[in-house]
Amino acid sequence: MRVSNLYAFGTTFTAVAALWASVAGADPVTSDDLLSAAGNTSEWLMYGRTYDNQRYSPLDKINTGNVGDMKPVWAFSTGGKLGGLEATPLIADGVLYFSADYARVFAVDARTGTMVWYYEPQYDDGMEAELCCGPVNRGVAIKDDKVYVETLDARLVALNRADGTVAWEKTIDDWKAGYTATGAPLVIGDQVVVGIAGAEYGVRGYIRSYDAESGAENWTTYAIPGPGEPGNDSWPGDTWKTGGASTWQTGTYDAETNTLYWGTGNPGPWNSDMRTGDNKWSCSVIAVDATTGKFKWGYQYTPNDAWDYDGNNAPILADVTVDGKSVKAALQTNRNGFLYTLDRTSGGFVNAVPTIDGINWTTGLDPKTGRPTVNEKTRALSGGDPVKPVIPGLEGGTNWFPASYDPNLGYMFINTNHWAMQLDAWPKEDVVYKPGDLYMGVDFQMYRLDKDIGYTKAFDVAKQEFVWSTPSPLPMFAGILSTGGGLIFTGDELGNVLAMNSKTGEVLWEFQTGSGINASPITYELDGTQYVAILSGLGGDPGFYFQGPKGGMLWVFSVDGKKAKGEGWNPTPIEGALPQLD
Amino acid sequence: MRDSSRRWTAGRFARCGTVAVGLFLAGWAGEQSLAQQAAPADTEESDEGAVTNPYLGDFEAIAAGKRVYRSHCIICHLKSGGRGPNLFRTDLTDEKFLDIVVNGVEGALMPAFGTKLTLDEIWQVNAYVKSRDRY
Ligand code: HEC
Repeated sequence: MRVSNLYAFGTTFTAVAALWASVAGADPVTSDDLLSAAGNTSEWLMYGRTYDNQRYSPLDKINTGNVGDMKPVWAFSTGGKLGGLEATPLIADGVLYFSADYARVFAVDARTGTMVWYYEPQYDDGMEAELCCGPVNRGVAIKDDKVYVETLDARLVALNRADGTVAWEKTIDDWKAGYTATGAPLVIGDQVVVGIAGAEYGVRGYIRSYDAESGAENWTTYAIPGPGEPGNDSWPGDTWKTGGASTWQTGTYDAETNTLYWGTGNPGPWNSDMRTGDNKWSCSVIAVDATTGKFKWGYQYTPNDAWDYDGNNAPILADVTVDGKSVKAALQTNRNGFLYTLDRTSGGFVNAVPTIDGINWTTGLDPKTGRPTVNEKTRALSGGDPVKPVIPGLEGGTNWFPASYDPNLGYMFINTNHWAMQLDAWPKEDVVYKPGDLYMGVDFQMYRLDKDIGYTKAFDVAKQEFVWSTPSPLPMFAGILSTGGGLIFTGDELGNVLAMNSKTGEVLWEFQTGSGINASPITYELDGTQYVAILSGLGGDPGFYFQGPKGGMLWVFSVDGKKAKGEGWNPTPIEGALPQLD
Repeated sequence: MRDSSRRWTAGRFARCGTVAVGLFLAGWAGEQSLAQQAAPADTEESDEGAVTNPYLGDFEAIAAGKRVYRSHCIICHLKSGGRGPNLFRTDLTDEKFLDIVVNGVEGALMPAFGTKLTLDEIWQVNAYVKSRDRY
């Protein structure tokens, strides 16, 4: 079946554009609006809601007292090939903007659930064979009258917010060489910043800034330093050229110091003995000047990684007190199983705690620097014996799904997974770089350890200890939202949207959406009512470990479940199929 | 402009079962016959007209197939299945295997390799996975 059968675009296009005009004025989202997003509780304007990435909304109309009454208001099918949904929707001026699989973009009237427009990128045959982890996309960005999306084949597309037509598009890189894109762009001032994926294909990761208006390239900063730059000597020979350190997730921005923080992925190939040294800045967070891209500092969570422990999950910025000292912190929960508190002004290490039991790839972190002492028994040597078990397995710990921070409670909420893997590294001579081919060099197998794999946990940042933990039998792969209503929202792979008491972890409400949830919830207020929205659709990495009903839906909830009566609807007659009888 | 069908029909390999294999073979007829000449006698019994792998049991092809597997398939199919089914235990016919690798599996995470791999490479990887029941 063709996707486009779902919506007969050509003919209804003008009508739809007219509908847009009636549902909302295209009020531009300015750079200032983005800077002051914290105070704007009625909208959700960027990936992490605010530049500090806290995913905390002060809204409290839905709270511990009434969340039990939450009901669906409307649901919207993204149709298509059901390749899995991982996005964070945005809402501006009464219209929800979100991406589905294949970087398809939808604009939907938030009052009625009626589609305003739809954009579907076209791909060359064979592109899917360059994707390690499914045709997923994590979201769009908005500025002024445009919506930005990164396509799977590494293009940055600017859409006109009014009608979804393409304003401009730029090729970020060559997908045939293994460079792909799945992240949500980040708008800062008048730039759009993007990263790339492909550390399993021998890419060299970078972040790049484009002019938001014209699409002209501003700057590119490589995650792996080039010759002559500090850190390049942490790579033997030419290995830095194909060393991975992809940048496939959205960064965090600190306006106070104009600093952009960006997480980086695993080094490649996975054979750590083929790239002896720290391999900077793979499995790290780097801080760069947001205007020029100039490198400020890096902090490497996992030097000379041998376990695919990407550090891509972007840090949450929060001003906290740890051990009686105030810290301008960057908080990051990592695939290597640890939750890090860093000093974001310097990249200094403050503390790290394990998020799961049984971590064995390291025997401990240096209390001053956080540098791990590697348990060499868990490092697979090229041509050597397989190593097993390694905990956590390569999926983490906490993979890409965003955490949340409630500044009133001082709690950080994370999803994390407890499982293991075996690694088996090929002989060095078998690991050959060829553009566009896998450049992994290691076979792996994931293992279950216990009845439960996934955990939602609350971390008291001041005390540096976990407060509560709520388990799930399947891995948790959804983002988290915390609210002033004393709640957190997330979703599980069983298909449930979950509302938990943020102080206790008690599940106060759940709703079965029919397909696994690996996306991130948002909340907003419209016409005096608070809503929660989340995408549901099994896919991405969880889809590699268990089967379940596929799906592709946006679900919107409120306490009263009442929907405005709309003028529009989503089905459109197929031309010629149902003519009016004379 | 927004018609997504182009992608699935305009390519050399249409996405529709045996028709695709037909087109595919037409496109590769030259190489196919070369491959057959070079390959050892195919002892596999097959229905009349069925497409079969000329490389089964060929030592060099199996070694080449292992390289193809490691360059393109291992991230999902792993050593004994995981993200995708265990190919070393597959009971698919050669023809069906070819069809799936060329066209992918619609609605699942199995990508189409029709533009990336040659017919030879697909037969090699098929010969490799059928040469053993474990990795
Ligand atoms: C991105 C992950 C991915 C990659 C890469 C991949 N596959 Fe698959 N493959 C899958 C999945 C998932 C399925 C199961 C599809 C389904 O649900 O029917 C599958 C199914 C198959 C099947 C059907 C098996 C059966 O018994 O039904 C064959 C044959 C196959 N793949 C061959 C290959 C070959 C050969 C390669 C490398 C050239 C490859 N695949 C690369 C994910 C992948």
